Amino acid sequence: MKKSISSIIAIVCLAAVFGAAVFGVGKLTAPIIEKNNSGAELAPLKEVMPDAEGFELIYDASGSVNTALSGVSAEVSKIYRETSGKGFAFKCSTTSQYSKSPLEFTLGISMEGKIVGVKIDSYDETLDFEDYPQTFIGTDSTLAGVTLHAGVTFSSTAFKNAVISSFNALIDNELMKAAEKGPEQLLAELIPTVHTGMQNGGNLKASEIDASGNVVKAYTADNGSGVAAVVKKGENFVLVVLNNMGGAAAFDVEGNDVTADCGAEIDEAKKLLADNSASETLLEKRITAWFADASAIENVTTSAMNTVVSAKKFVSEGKTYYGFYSKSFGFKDMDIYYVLDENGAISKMTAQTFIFEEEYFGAFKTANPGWTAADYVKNYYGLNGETYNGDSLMIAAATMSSNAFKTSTSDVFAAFSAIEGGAN
Amino acid sequence: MKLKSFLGSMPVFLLSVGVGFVLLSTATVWAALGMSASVIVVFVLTALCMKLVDKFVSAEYRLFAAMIVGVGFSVLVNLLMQAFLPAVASELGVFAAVVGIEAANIPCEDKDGVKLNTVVSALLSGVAFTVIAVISAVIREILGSASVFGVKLGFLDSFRLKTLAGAFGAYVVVAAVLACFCKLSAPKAEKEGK
Repeated sequence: MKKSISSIIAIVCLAAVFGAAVFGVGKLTAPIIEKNNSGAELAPLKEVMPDAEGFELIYDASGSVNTALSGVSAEVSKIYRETSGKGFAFKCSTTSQYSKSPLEFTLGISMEGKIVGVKIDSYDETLDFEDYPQTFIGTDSTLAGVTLHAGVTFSSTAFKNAVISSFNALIDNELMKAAEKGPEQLLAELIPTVHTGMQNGGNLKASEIDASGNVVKAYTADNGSGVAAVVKKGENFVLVVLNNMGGAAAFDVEGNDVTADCGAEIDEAKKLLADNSASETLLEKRITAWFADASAIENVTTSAMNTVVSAKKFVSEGKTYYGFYSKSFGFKDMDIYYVLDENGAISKMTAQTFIFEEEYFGAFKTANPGWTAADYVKNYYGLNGETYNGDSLMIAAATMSSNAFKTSTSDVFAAFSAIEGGAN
Repeated sequence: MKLKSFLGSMPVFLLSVGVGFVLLSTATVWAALGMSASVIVVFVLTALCMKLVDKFVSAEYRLFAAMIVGVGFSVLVNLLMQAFLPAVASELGVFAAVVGIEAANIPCEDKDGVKLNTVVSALLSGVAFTVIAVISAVIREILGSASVFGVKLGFLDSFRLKTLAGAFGAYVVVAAVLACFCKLSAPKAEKEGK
């Protein structure tokens, strides 16, 4: 009994002694541990802003700090202010279509409004970003000159949008002034709007080509649907867009149509058009395959600026028809041919790169048993610009391809409506 | 004390109290060395303290006292590591504090039932843990992560087995090392199958 009581007392004393020791050591080491922890958290921020003295968290998407900032996009998880006034650091997290996990990165922006550092913290995709993030260093909120990374379009679009959101968080909360875009950049950004054949999902699908004379910047569409050129006109600049069927238009920096006043600029840009004979030949072959008696096959001029790369008019069995060749952007680049009758209704249609695979069209085939790719295409026959409803023919599991069909069909109807002199 | 007999009880000692923290600390060689140093310090201090405590505590209460002492020292060591060796502490995480439970169970006798000097036993336990952890860490880091001491070995990158760097690989490697340990420390007669 005595031994038990002394053991219990000894144990209680032990607990008290060790408790006091832990309390004391804890108090002494707490400031050092706090400094270590904040150092560990702030180490990635130092990598994007090496001359920073310290950081203060001014925004946390999880709500861990009281913040005066508002309207911050969800892609920005944390914003830090550099304590000596050198700028701001951001922790961003974004996802892209088909991505397995979020893309996380740290971004540094100086008080002058320029990106000073970028570091990818987490990127779990099979395709390599390579040095794409480093192309942002030195740019301001206009992101002038920054394009998308070929082959990694979805991730690079998500990355670029997250960077834009970071700038917007500062601009919208008046922590920084937005950089002014020059006329060349403003006009280049107008291209996807005024020539829809040179874009996909709002992203420019064109390559820069050599420019000379009054042409300061020029692009040719990746699908051969035309050319866009920024041309000097006196003290100002205009954007000239051309298709391969004789159509041309010009716009000023405000987006106003100034075609009537830009004859010389249009003529200068026309020199940049590539030879379109390959597309014209393919369309003619398709027409003669469908209509063995096709005659008087001739090119038509249309002012539509979209995915249509070639347009022809021909006669068969005494009736006039119009053939169109559209190259839209699906899962793969699509080549879709149409023949419309003189009233603009689809008479024939085919797609050269349309893959009716069970994996992607399974749901559609389940709803329509026994159908093949040709059966899907026949749904379009007889439709015209007024009766066509693009959404009714979308296939849920093959969004990219059926969106491409929708785009091409809409573009062909638009091209038909815009035929010079009217279709007859 | 028969060293071989003592070492032969090590795998059982580690397995009986949960080998989880051994697995977690063998991801890299630095983590293994950090954990081993922590283990040796806590074990030895606990053994020294218990030599004094044993005079006041009876046998049936010894385990409770040993746990208070072991956990107390492991928390103190963990706080000091977080303050002065933060890189090592962050690699070990919560498992640096678990050492205390192990310290309460230091073997007091070997496989043949011979009583041991607890301080020497604690030191040898720590050394044995170090050997097992470091060997496992070297295998896992080189073959699983193609690096050693955090330095990338580029020429091994295409040969590495990512599985070894993960939890399943940890079990396989530690189990293999413990098995070798058992075999090497088995008495000669046992080895010959007699």
